[in-house]
Amino acid sequence: MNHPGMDGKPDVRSDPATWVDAHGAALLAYAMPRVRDQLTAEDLVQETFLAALKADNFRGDAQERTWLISILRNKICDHFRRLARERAQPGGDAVDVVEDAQFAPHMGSDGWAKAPGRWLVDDETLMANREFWEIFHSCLGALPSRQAAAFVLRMMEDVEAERVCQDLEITATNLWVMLHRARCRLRACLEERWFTS
Amino acid sequence: MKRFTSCKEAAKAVAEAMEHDLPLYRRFALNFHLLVCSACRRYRSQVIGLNRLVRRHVREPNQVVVELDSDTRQRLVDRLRQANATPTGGTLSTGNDHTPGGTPVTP
Ligand SMILES: [Zn+2]
Repeated sequence: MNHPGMDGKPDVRSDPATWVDAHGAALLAYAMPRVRDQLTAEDLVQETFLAALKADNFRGDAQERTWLISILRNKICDHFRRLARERAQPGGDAVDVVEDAQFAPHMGSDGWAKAPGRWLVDDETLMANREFWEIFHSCLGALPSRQAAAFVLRMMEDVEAERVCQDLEITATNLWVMLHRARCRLRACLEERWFTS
Repeated sequence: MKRFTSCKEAAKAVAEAMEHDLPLYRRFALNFHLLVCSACRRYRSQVIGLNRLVRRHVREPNQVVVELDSDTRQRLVDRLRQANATPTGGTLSTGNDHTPGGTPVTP
């Protein structure tokens, strides 16, 4: 691997291929679990390289990977902010049919329509199971886009709650309700597609 | 069984408690509900477990096997070379682009 900066300085600007070889796979690996589909991930990696090429504080040192990842992280957050804005619907966040379908009136109170099943798998097994994460990402991709944006920004990117509220133009209460619905849907989706099959 | 809090409300309170401390009365109501309702206890442990897994998933990228296949590599390289060769697209010394990726980029 000819990592720029490690041995002399092959200038990345004269041939971006060295960059793609040095960091492409790592950046894609970072983007994939967050955005789910390969094409979006590739686009974001592409934008990251382009922004880095144009940057004044261009670096060719050992911290280059970290620097690129931080640019990529911003690109990912921007992507979800854009998605959330594009798909904003007036009043569209008021109810969630999937959340509602989880519960059924039972003796005057909303009980579980179908109680959560037993998940008999430990964390380590799930972490290492590729098929589980494929299903997880397919479930994440099936969320309404504002719920997905809230979930990714808050739960995956650790963006502060206030910032996510600004991005999605919602109140703090709306945010946790949205996260709640996202979890409800993810849990039900995983249970149906992974834990009971 | 008649409960003070419905399962639907309890599930919601579980989510709220993840974002901030619940007021005393609601915390009491939730804890009481969890004490008597095994379905909600299970729900709670599942969503907490899911949070834990997701956090690890994004922080341990080694778990995701991503290979840069030759097509993908070529696409990335071609587009970068193109942008790099175009004076308007890939200028090196614009001087005003000091926050790469910091602001929303319109495609
Ligand atoms: Zn319950």
